[in-house]
Amino acid sequence: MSTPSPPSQDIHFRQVSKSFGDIHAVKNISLRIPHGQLYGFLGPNGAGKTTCLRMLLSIILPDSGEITLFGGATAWDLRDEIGYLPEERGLYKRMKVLEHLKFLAELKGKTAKEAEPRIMKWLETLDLADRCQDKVMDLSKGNQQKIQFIGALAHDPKLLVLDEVFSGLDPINAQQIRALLMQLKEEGKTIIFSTHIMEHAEQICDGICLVHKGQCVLEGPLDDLKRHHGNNRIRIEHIGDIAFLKEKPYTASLRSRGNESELRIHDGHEPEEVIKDLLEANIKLRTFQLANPSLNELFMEMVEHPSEASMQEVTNA
Amino acid sequence: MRRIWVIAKRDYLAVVRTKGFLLSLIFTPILMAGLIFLPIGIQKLVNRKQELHLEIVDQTRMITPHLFRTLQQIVKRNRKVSYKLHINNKAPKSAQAFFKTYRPLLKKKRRFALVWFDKNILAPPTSAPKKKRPPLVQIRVKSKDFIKASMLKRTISAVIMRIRLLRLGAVAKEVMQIRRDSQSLVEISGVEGERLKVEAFLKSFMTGIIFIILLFMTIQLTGHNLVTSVIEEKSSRIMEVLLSSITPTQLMVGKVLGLGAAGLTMVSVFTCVGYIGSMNANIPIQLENLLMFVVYYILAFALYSFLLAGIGSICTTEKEAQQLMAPVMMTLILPAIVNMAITENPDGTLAIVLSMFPFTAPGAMLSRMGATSVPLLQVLLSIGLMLLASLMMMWISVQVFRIGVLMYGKRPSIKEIIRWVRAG
Repeated sequence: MSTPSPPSQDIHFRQVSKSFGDIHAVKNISLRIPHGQLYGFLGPNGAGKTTCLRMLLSIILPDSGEITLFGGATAWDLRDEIGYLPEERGLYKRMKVLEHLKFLAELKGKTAKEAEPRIMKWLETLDLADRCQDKVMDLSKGNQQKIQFIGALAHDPKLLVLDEVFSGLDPINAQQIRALLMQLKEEGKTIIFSTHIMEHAEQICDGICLVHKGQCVLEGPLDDLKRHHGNNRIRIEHIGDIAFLKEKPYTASLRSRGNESELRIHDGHEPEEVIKDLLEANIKLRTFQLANPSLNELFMEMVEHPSEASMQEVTNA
Repeated sequence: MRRIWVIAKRDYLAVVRTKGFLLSLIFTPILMAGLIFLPIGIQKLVNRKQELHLEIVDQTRMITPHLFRTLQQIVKRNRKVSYKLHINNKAPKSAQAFFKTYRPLLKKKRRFALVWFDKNILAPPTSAPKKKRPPLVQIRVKSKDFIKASMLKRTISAVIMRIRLLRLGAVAKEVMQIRRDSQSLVEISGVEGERLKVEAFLKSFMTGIIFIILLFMTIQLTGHNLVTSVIEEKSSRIMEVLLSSITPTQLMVGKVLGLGAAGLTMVSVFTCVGYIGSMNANIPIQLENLLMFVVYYILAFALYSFLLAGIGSICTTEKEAQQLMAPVMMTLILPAIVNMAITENPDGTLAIVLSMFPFTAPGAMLSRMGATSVPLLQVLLSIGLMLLASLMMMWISVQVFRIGVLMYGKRPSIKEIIRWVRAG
């Protein structure tokens, strides 16, 4: 599916579960994040994304299952190689920007001296060099988020874990961060982030995991997922009634609104079979299109038809 | 270890660099000095030349000259007061009439006291019970002046006794000699035969109190900073960044060290100022037990700080934390409340129990050490128990801290906390 990489460099979740009291935050998630990828945990608020990331970082431990990084180590053994950006403002408000970033680097075992040039370089890249002596609380929310971003990078980690990295950023800053993430990936870093805004993930992700109610409803390389689901979905503009398609063995579902219909077919069937049947029934076609669903649509679909989702998982495997 | 240091350094600077810290560093000693010295100053100002006017009727005409001389001697010793005697020769014949006529002077504060000496004062002593004798000397004052009047009463009694003795002739000198001599016959001394003074008792009493005050101040300051800082880190999610880099134990120990150092900085400045002040004010402080002082101080600090860090981790607001801190601080000052009992009976059951129980041991043991020589076994046992308690408290707090710091919103119940501790 994806470019094969030495297995020792990947990140594995193996049947990971976590509950808080009666709430099952994460249920039996297994997945593989290949080395050097930009990987997204997606899903609505409260789906379990942050819990997944916290377990990945060993901030909390799973009740069952295991998570291994880069060749069998736990995040705790590799904590100095990981940069973490928590959801919303994880900064001391009354500290000065440069001092704060040095502190974060020191926590990761660097000395303030070796971290400083790197921090200054990042501050310049993000147009904040002139604010380095300001207190964090004097910065705008967007700028604080950028400081937090630099904080995750200050010690030059191999793995970046970013929780809702785009929150509080205007479109221009969001674009800047997106570009930086692409650049960091080019440099060989593995980047894992979570977001509830599918468009962000769609633009940059190599692989995704859709989380819903603590379960992984869809997982894998984004291109594969889209191609696969795109093949199953056909948008048709037609003249004449096509309700007879419902009886065909390849039809999974058919939704019609006037002359426009959306047809989903089962795996193992080809769109050509549909064209053949339509032409035989003398239906005039204006459009016959394999629809490439947006991540948003994919997600909605998975959540609304969980049984189909799991079925597809099975056929996928 | 280095990361503990990184945390400690940051927390220390975060407290020490605030304006509030600097302000309280400067203004607290000023305020304390003000509280101590202002009343003294005011009193000096007010009492500078307090002149007490006495309206006297002396039917014997013999007492007043003696009284005058004695009062002069008192004034010489105590420059704050002076007496002015108004000898009244035109007064009515009875005490009742005298007091009735001159009452207005007392009321208008033109006289401090009205004094009546009856002509029968110098009659030979009788063995009649006190109740059946009319008072021969009567002093009338305003009730607020009771204390000063009591001193006057003692002076007058002494004067009358001397006059009576003198009338006995040659024997009088001998009697007075015997009196003076008998007072210096008896001597109290300590176990080693050293001279005991009231200061020695005061010293051991004050050592306990000062230790508890210092400890209380340090822990109060540190505890407050600990709780505030943990709550800030929780609410701003810095906690997650911290815990992705260091263990909860490292974080907690770092915080206790850093914030403890900040509290200690402030308290040592206060102590220096206080010491300089006490050299002037002559407050006795015992420095012989300095080593024990330091040992117990550190142990108590560790015990309470870890407890407070645990408390901080389960709270979401400062108000909540204050409520939980209050009973903890109460156990700390318990020895101060019963300090008198400990000093008076340093080998009693109460003193021994309190000096063994880790939460009260520091204050109680220091008080005992000032008052008696505590058996070495008891000292070692008490230190051992405190050490054990501190380590246990650290362990328990870390278990609670580990989970508590990542809980937002609702405060956990006691049941839940016990479960967390068990899980560790």
